[in-house]
Amino acid sequence: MSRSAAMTSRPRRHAWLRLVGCALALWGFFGFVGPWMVSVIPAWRQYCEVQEAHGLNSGAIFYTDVPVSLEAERANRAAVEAAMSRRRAAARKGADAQGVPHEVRAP
Amino acid sequence: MANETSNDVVVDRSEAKWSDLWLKEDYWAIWIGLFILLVATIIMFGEKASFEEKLASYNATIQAESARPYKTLALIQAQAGKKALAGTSVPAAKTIMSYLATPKGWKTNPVASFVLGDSAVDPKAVEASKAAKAAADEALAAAKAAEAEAAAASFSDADLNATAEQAVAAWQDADKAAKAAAGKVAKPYNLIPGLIVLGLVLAVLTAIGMKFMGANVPKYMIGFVGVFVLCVLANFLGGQGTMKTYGVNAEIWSIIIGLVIANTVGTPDWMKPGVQVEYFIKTGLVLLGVDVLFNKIVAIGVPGIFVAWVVTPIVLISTFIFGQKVLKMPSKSLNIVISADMSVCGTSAAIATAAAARAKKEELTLAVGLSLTFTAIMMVALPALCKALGLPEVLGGAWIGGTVDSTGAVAAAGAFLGPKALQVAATIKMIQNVLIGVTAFCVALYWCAKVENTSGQQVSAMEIWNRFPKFVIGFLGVSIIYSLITSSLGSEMGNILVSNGVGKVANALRGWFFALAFVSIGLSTNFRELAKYFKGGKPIILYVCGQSLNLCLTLLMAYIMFYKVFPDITASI
Repeated sequence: MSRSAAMTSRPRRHAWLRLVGCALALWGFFGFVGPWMVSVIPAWRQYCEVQEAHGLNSGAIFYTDVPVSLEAERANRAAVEAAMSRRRAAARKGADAQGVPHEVRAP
Repeated sequence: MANETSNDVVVDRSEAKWSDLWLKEDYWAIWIGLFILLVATIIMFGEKASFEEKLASYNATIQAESARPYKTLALIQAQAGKKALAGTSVPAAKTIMSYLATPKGWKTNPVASFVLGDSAVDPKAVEASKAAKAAADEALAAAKAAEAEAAAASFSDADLNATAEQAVAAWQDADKAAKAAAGKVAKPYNLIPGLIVLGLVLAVLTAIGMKFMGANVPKYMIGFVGVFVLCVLANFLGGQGTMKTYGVNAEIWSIIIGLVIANTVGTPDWMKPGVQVEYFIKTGLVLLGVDVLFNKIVAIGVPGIFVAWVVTPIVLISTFIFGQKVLKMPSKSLNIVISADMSVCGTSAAIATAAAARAKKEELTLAVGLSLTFTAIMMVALPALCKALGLPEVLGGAWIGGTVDSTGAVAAAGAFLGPKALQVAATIKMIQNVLIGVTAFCVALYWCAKVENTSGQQVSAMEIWNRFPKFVIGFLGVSIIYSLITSSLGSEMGNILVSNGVGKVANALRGWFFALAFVSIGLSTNFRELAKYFKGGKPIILYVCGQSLNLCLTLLMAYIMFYKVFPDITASI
């Protein structure tokens, strides 16, 4: 190999070595350091257990990627409806007790 | 000059022309997004009558059976049937969804992400599943018999009712066990042919736009294949069990993979024509419009609107002004992207705002990185703080929903606190997600009318229109159209045909387009360029100060709304 070819192939080798190094570092962090951190930090461990128990993915970026969102929405809508019905019933009861004519009551 | 290019951000100064409709990237993002949504809508809505019939039947059964003294078999089965109604159950939709599938989740066997053979099926699990199914069938027969006896006495005999109720409960337990056992039986699959087809379809679809925009189509398609393969790798890594728990999703891996390649061996020349950040992001955002449904904002009533739609803009604008006037952030676009991702909903808000403000790729990468880092801290620390302070679940859930960035992390943090907290947190974050469309529109308008102006220059409405990023109109337009469709259908049919129908197809493709965009961002980002944005630590200071304001204001508003003004809603949750 000529001297100039050897000189250009050295940076290429270094570049590939850096790539492999990065890949190994990422594998090391996520494969070993991360799980070790989770195992020694009780809050993190419990947090991971809760996610597994509920089938949650904390990386989801939008509500449609979190299946529980739709159920939560349904339950909250039902709660709001129930609360507003009770308010309206209480308002009607109050109006009845005060003898307010029907024509002037709020809808 | 028609276009000014500043570090790969193109600021279009040319006048709007009719030919823009087939020559400009923004419009092609809209056409591709609309084409996908139109196909999905035709498929799902073609079965509308059938779904309406089934829904009416289930609702009639539920109404009739609700009068019984206990939860009957018919009631439970009707409720389950209604819950399972989904637009994606249409055969054509099922086929499309199978081709859009990402590599499956895996724990220790990476091959299982793509292929699972017959040999992986455990015979013991199959036997256990058969036994559990037989037990469930037996329990069902017993429940039917007990119910028949109770019905014969017109449900007036308390003893017979109690016996039937117990038999139904026993069937429910057996049925749950049978479903759990069936879930443990591995079903063989091979995703590789589907991924190849998906890659080719996306390549052709996007190549049509590239052709009209004057690109070299063969070179683009070759480059696209390379970018797509990296996306598949990112999805594979993001599907690993531990990654999911940490919140390191496919989008994050897309950036990491792109950054590592670009800053080590360098992005190969043959791949560069396929690196089209803005094109992929804009298309993904138009598809995201289907999920930005305005009727969601009343899901938890007025308290939800105040916590998510009043506090959020206050925090966003205050943080932006703080960043400009106090911190003197050198980049306005970086400032607004960080302010948006911190105050609204993390990565998705960062993407939409960055595109609307024409932020640089490095700025988006930095904002997403900041959001991810602080989310990882807050999703553990905030529930712990709620418990330490003894906050009630509803208040804690509202606090978490309004402050933790990423939607997945919000759900996880809420679940950590309790079921009510999860319910409230997930809904508050959903309402904030809907704010993305309005945020992108307002930011785009402000940027065109004020930021891109020479000081003192008056800008005409036509000039604002010329500069306005047109894909935002597509994004908001899709959001408005599907919000109106959902409103007209009613919440139940809306969930079936839009949320669990067209929305599912759009979600899947949106995920792929964002992954393509993030790989492209990584492949075109230089570490040294990224590092200069950290100067003085201003982005971190901005985030921390903004988030501190967010935490205080959200807690205060949640307390006032949920405990002072609407305690009855809180009591009903």
